[in-house]
Amino acid sequence: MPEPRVSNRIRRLRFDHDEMTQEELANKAGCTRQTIIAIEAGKYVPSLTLAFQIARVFGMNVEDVFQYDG
Amino acid sequence: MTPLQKRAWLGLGVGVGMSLAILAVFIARGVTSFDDDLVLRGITYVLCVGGLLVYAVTLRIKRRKLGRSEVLVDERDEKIIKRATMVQLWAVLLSLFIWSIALTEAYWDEKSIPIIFAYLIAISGLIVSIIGQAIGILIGYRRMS
Repeated sequence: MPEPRVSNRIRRLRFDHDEMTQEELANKAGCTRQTIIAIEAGKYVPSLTLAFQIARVFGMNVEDVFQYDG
Repeated sequence: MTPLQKRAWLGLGVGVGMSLAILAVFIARGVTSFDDDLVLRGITYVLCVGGLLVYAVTLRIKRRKLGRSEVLVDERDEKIIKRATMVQLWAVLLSLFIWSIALTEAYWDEKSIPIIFAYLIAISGLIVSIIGQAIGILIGYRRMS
């Protein structure tokens, strides 16, 4: 079964939030910088918990940050 | 590079180092002399226990550093290490089956195997386990990075 594609706007949102660095986002969301890099590159789909934590850093809903492309 | 990746490279180094050390010892002193050669037996025990201790100490150092405020291990690392454990398990099982078949075929007529192979199987199990996990971790990062 093919993996569901989940895209995200994290890179765009980081720049919209005072050019937040990947390191800053990682520290606020409680993950490593490498994980943020992997998520941005579409190589890793985060768990629901981490997705909520990332969305909370930007003060947005999960679906505003992550999109399910089917 | 994440701490887990560093640990994997270290594990790979320890595994390859142990393999080379064992090979060097047995090439220098000969496998068949194990029964009479006390020095060879001593070296074998030291390599076996020493390798395990070195690997255990490196794991302990990593755990101590986890008290820092920066997140060092997250859900992606945990997912990778879980998958790497499966690679490790299959590698060890495969090595045991290879040993079993090879020894059965080689010593079929004698109906018994030299005692040295008990240690070689144990040491190779440890080495395959260390290298298998390290490779599993490195493959995991390659796929998820």
